[in-house]
Amino acid sequence: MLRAFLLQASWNYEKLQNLGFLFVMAPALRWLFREDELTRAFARHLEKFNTHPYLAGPILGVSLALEEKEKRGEEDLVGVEGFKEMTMAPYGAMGDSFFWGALRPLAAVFSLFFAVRGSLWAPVVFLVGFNLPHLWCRVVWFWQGYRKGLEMVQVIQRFQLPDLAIRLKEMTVVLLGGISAYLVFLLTSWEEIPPAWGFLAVPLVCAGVFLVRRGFSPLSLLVSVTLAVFLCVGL
Amino acid sequence: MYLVEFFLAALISVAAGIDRTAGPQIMLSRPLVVAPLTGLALGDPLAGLQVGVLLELLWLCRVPAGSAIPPDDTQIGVGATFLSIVFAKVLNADPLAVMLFAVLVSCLAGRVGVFFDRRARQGNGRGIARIQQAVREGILEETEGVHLLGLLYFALSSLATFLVIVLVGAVCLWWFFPLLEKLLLMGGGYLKTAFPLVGAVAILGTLRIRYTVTLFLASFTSTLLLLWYF
Amino acid sequence: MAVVLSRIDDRLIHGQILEVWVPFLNVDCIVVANDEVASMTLRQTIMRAAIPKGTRVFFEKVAGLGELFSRPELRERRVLMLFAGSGDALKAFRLGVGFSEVNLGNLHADGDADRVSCTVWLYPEDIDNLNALEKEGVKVVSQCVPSDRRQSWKELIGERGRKDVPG
Repeated sequence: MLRAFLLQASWNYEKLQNLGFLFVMAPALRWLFREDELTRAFARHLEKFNTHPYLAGPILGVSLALEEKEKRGEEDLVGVEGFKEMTMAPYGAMGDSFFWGALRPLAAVFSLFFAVRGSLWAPVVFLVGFNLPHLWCRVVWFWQGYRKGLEMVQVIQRFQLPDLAIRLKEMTVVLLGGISAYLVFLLTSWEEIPPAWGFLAVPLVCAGVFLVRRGFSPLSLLVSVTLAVFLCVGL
Repeated sequence: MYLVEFFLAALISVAAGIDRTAGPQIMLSRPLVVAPLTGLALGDPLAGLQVGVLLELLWLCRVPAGSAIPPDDTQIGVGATFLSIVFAKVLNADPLAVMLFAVLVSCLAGRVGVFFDRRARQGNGRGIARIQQAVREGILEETEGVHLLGLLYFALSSLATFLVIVLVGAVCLWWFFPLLEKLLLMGGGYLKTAFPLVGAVAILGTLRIRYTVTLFLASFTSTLLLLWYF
Repeated sequence: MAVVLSRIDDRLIHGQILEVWVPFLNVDCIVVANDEVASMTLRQTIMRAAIPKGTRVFFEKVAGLGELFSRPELRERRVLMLFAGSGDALKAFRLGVGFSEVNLGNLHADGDADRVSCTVWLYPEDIDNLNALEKEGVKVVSQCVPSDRRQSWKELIGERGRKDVPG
């Protein structure tokens, strides 16, 4: 099932990850079905599909279990198409908010503490911190999904990922405050000005946050800050 | 002529580009990882690390919501590291000044990445249409091939972005760097701090939990006071 | 009670809703108005897993919306209401669920529907439904996320109309 790692290769605007899902399932389908049944199974998995790449693991696992049931002629609460259809959007949202919105920033900001001190451990810390939970979700939940079938849904709900995400985000913000203060402190000692001037960063940051929430892109902010610095040192 | 360096960087750019969307997404594609990696290949991992610090936070929280694509900070990281290491030698100038300029230009040039990425995804769309037709007719053999073709598309798109960044960056460094060198030297320390701070601002602006700013300010103030005191 | 956003979105609970609209509008209650979901606990469990505890969520049949909105626990809430299709939205409006604007988010379709924007495909009956809504005074706006441009759905139809004209 190493193929699961290539889920998104054929991401496209019309059907999103459909072919990727089929790609992962294909060997199993070939093993389960023959001839016409196989063609039908392939067609079934070409339906539109889009979710978070990591949480696709449990969906794939459960789908596999459902396909096996189909093969044995048993019926479950929902068919495999129905299951994919109903999980993709909520799990996509959950994955986005947990992995992209919470875990990745936290891992990155944490490893920045190493990076600003010039330690090459920073990338290692980041990779390990992020990938341990990530791979755990992909691999363990895939097998659990396969073994438990539809019950997997309750297992995932018990984790309360969205609430965990909020906790992680709070930690990220606190760490971010720490690292920013450290950077500003380094700057004041580098330029030999009293650290009290560092508090000037406070209104600047607040203004910046206001602008970003108004739809300013980080890039335009970056350019304007650079120009401002040029202007200040130029005068 | 730094050809070896160029090919090494291009290789990393493709590998990380595949990891970014199409591949396993083990985060090789984050600037904080890919830039030191490029630096390591070119013999100066610390320069890469510095580029990574400058870039990492900027687009960290830009969740690709739905079909919107954030700027390609992977290629920006590789490109900027390559440019700053090579041009610090070519121009024989202050490495920090070159690096800041390279990062800035790469960020601007990196916007084209969105265009190439979109082309790759459109290419995939065409592949899907073909497969749907084939499966309807009962032909299943092509399925995997077309899927893997997607990898190639994404690889090509990464490489194209990388090339544009390096090309634009090289031209800009060659022509404009001497003009701005003095300003960059004087403002270097400030800019070095300002980049990650802008990144922090971008994150605070996008992370929406209760009391985001309050939490940040509390932590910022107490840390700064502590550092000041000791 | 205030419905701060009513949206037609066939993906119902998904990233754009939870990550973007809910914090943007300070929503603390989501109402999923869909007959199928309201009768399927499995789907509800899946959707609930994606929503943090601080946000209440109700799954209700379209016909039951009136009763739901009269409940006291919803009175102080800022509500985001989701429909899976234009038909449901029209039905809800005719049943007296008050909203003055409806947001056209995602409507995917196959076959003979017209693609009027990146994420919206409309069947002829969708167009009829939306027209009926407009006639009753509901503004139909297309906007995927708050940072997108707000567009009247008429503009989208217009664009497509021009493309269809031969020559």
